[in-house]
Amino acid sequence: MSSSAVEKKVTKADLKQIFWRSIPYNASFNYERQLNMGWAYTLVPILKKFYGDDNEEMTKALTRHLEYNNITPFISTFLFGLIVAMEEKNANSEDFDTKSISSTKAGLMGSLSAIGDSIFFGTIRVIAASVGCSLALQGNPLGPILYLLIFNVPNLIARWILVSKGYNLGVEFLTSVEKSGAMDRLFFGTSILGLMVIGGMIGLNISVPLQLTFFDTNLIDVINGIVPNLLNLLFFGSIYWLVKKNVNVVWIMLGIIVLGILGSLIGIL
Amino acid sequence: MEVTVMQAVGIGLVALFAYMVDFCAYAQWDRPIFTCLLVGLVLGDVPQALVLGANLELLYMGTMSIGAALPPDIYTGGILGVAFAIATGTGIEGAVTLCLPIASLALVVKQFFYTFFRGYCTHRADYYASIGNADGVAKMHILSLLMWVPMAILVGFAFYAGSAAVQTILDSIPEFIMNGISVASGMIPALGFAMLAKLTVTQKTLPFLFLGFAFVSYLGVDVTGVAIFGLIIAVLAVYFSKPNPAAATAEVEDDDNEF
Amino acid sequence: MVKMLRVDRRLIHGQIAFSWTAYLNVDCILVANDDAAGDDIRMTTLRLAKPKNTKLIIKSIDDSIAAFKSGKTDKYKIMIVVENVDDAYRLAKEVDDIQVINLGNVKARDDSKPYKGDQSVNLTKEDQIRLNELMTLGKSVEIRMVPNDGIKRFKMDI
Repeated sequence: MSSSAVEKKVTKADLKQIFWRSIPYNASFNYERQLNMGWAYTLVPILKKFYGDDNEEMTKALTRHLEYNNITPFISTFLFGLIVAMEEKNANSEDFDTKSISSTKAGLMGSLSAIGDSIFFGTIRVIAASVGCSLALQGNPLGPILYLLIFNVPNLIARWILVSKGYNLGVEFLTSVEKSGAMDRLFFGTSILGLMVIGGMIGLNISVPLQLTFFDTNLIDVINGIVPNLLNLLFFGSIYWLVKKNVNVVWIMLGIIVLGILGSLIGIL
Repeated sequence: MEVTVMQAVGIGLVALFAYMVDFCAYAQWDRPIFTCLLVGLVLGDVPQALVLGANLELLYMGTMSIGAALPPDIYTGGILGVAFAIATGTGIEGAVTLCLPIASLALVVKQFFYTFFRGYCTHRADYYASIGNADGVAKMHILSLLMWVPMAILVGFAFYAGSAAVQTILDSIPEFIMNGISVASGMIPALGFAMLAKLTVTQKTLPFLFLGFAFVSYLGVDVTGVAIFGLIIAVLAVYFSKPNPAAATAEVEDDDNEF
Repeated sequence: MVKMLRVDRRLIHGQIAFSWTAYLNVDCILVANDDAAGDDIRMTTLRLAKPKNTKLIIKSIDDSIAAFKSGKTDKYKIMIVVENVDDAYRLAKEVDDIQVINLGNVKARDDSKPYKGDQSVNLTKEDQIRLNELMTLGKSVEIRMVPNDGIKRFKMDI
């Protein structure tokens, strides 16, 4: 709302700073408004630039950025960039409706999080953890280190790229992504990758040590003689069926433990 | 194994570092698969710690913190579970048995800090906002991290003071139960995998799960190999599934905002 | 049929897109919200966030009620997401098919209190009276963030 002739412009350095300040975005989770302080923290330098000379505007800006907030941190910079662009307009015009800033933020954070959670928690972390585990199980310290790299290279790249996408293209970027069907293809690709890794882990990282012998032949050899690791797949299939039937996860877990205890007591596991 | 003060301090520092993940890009280094390496370094048994951490990670891989729901604190559970299992020499059974109870207890403690300390910070931040003090708001954000100091001290102290008690508890569990838990810990990962698969499986993508399975079962590829093949196949599949115009129109019709 | 009506201030987000749609096994999500229905930007992003194999429809509360009354919705298994208790009340009172009301994230307002200490679910007196009224109509009202949490039944507490 500054009426002075000097236009307040967002520079490249400002956007870089958004990236850096998004790193500790998660530091102050609270029940009441979740990541609201982290959100405001990231915007502090830019708000000072826009409203540093106007205490009343600063108060309003801080208040609107301390509202409830929670967005998947890895893609948060997109929304930061977009909101910075809106704040820039507000700072340079007399009659900008600041309610639209709040409503855009609130409207976008949920849906952007659905995308971010699916890609980062649903796929990238699964791949990172499975590669990490398979090495760590052999006692190889590269496991944890690779885990960290596989997860965080995309994490930092996404944060870096998305600031300027959010600032320069904003909603236009989302519209073009939706129109092009790129999001569907991205989901398709990441779920292929994720599912292949899960399939691999079903073969390697489940162990059902069945010890049931008929006429000197161990049943497990018969089953796994048809297809290697078939028993693992069958066990996974039955658990998957229970999960699909919405049986409570805690009950399934207890069930498996009871199965383990009974099985080892009778001597078949 | 007798726990020394230095080791307890070390475990406390591992916990403090793990909690700082919130400050550092939410880099996911608080998960058992990473903290086990640090616990192993502190206790001088990296190979065993890696195996324990990997096992816990496989067990809890399917648990995610999506949005606001707070699951049991398997981060603290992972650190102390691995540490106690090494200190008491109880191996995987010990780590698996201990992780979840510790995680549930840690969540209660964490909730206490979240409610009172973080509640205080939030309201202080509101006050600073009301007087237009941006630096004050930023300060409250950073101050919030302070709650991890007492948490980390508690973890170190629990490790120092708790080992003997944990040993007694684990010793008092009948052997057949511990055997059973050991057997079960090989099977529980199936649950995590099932939960993860359920998120992404569609008719179109189900074959890829079997493809990954076939790679390891018939070709003896390891998981890293599957990930590399998977990446190539995913890129190819995405490339060749570029929407053709006909499909695109069908999509548009399907996407209208009507029942 | 309507599997559930969820009150969530964030409308569609990770928990809805993964956990709930998979758990309820629905093939259609209806976002019933007066603001979102008129707002192209929000409609675009909500569409981006929709889970695969699920139809997403965004309508105002009145249009939603009309759609249910017309019977067009019968062929779908639907999860409805609304932003606040007011909207939930308006819909559930008119639509018999809504039998389960789930409270996930309910925004704090000046005159609201966290329900039984749960800071995610903030209810005013008015909210509580309305939810209670829905229960007397034979509908169930539960508090549950994600499917694997325990179900807490709502009980008037004022």
